[in-house]
Amino acid sequence: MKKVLRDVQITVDGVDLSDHFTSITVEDAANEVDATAFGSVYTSAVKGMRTAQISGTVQQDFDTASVDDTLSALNDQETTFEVEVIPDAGVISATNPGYRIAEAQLMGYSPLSGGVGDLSTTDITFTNAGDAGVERIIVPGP
Amino acid sequence: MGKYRVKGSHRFLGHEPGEEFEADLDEGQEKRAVARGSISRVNKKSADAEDTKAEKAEKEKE
Repeated sequence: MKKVLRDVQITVDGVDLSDHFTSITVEDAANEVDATAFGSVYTSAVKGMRTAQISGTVQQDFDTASVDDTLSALNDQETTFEVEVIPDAGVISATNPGYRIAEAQLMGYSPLSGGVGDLSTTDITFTNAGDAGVERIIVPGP
Repeated sequence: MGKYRVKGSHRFLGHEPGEEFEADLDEGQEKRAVARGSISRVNKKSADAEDTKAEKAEKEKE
């Protein structure tokens, strides 16, 4: 069945910030490395280094333990944390797979963004910092 | 394994605000979550109470 995003669950370092996100993109891509040699008619490419990230737009909230408390602290630290996205909030399954970066880092954070009269939103990117990249999970964790 | 209570208005690891849960959080995640007010340790109080009892007992001995 075609998917309409209505109830995506986004968890950052354990905190469910789903009700503040308005968009989300999970990416796992490889650099295209040209491998064309003499004698070829067509160019050919091989996969190079991979890049994994989860990015999105979040509505700002300065309440205790909400958006700013969570993201500013993660931006200030060097250690990694987990980010997980589930298409439909609830139990992960083969038809509702979770996408997780187990070792993510926040390379930057803009706590305030917007113009007069705007709802304050900010674009955020969680970058992979481990070896696993984006993991696709179809079995719920313990 | 620690016992925690979810504080604030956001779910934490799938648990609703106000709910108590047991989890084996790594030290870093626990520190961050407690510092920002996402969770509090539930068994901390009883540990503190035990400390206080032990302190009282020591004082009584003195």
